[in-house]
Amino acid sequence: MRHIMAFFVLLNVLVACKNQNTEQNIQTDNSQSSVKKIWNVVKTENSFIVFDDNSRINTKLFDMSYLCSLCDGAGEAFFVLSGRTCRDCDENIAIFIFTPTDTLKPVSELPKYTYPGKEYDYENSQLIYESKLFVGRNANSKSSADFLIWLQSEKSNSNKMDSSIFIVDVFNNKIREQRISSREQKYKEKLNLLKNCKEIKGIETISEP
Amino acid sequence: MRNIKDLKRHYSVFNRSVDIGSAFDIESVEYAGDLSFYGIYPGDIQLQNWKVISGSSSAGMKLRKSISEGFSLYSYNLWGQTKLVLSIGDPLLTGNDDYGYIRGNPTAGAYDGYFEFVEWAFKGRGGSVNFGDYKISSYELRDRLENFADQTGYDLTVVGGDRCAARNTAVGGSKGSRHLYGDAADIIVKGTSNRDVAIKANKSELFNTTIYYPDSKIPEALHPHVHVDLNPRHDNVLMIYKRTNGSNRYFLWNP
Repeated sequence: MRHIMAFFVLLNVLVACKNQNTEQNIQTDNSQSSVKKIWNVVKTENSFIVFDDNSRINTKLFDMSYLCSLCDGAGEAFFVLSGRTCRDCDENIAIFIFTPTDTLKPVSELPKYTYPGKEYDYENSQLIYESKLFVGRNANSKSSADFLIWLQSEKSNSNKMDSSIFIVDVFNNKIREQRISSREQKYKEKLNLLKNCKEIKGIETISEP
Repeated sequence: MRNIKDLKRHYSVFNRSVDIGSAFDIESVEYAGDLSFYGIYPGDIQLQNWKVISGSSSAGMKLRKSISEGFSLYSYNLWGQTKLVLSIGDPLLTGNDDYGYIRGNPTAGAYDGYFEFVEWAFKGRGGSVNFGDYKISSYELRDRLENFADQTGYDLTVVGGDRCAARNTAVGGSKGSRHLYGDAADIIVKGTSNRDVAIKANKSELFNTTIYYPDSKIPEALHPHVHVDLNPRHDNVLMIYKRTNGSNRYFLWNP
């Protein structure tokens, strides 16, 4: 009987200790989450983005370059990168948007956009896509870009070239995308956004087989 | 008769749908056993349009050899579709795992490619496919890659598979890429030239498109590898990639 009592006392002590540890952990976690990291990109090394505090994030992209960051004012980092998801393959360089929480995601699930320039059909060399990419910068923000705009024209199923604007920005901490066809009224309005934008130089590519 | 366990390695080869194209003639067939368990009765087996290629051709010899060593070959008609079955031993005795189907379209005329298949299936050179982290949605392509590895003994490494479409394009751009349809793969074989791999892939007739990406000293050029796909608009097309005048180009290739 004494042994049983001793066992229960010991069990209670262990449970109490565990609860205390858990509370401490929660407190620690809370204190950590209250300190928001500022992601100032210094450079890239292979698939890594390197920050000013020497921390680094592996994007798992190949031939990766950092172009700019998107921001909605809340301070979350959305890095605009160029690269490809495989190395020994025929994938064209593309634009990706990457956040520090994306490190656990397969690269194939990253939001992917075409790299600006001209793209020709690999079988008949006909032009199938053409775009210019602009980075829009908010006057209030010195370090972060606010939106990306593709001014693009692509071959439709009816073999005609369709023009559109494609805008990507960050809203409520999420990527927001908007396509506006040249046939829409607000197309011309949106063209005004291109004022004071910086263009990312395009390249010529062949479509992926 | 060879021990069934010895043939297990090659079982996976049989348990696949293999397109044998325009079929072949068979004269006599060794019946594999009672297939009533599977809803197949002797009346379902139609052999009148089939005959064996005997003669002295090496192809015929290979077929006879395979039958004498425990393979059985027969056809049957199931729901209006004629099927050819290659069986190792008696399916009821050896279990479901030990036989499989080869689907074909029996028409007149010999099909040499089939006999190559028998030889390969029997000898099983035992290559492998390492898909790594790359996903290939098409089961057909996955099968054909393993088939190709078995035929050649190559240890294939997949270095590119399914891709997502760029989100800013609607219908153009690289939307025609077979990587977006899940039936394309980029492969390499360590220790083997990509040229040889591409030529063998094309000769195997397992893929609708094969593209050879040679090693290039131009930094902007795509890395060396071999692309294979099941593009339905192509029929065993062999192409070569070149980086010329600052841009990528593809040409039909006749090595």
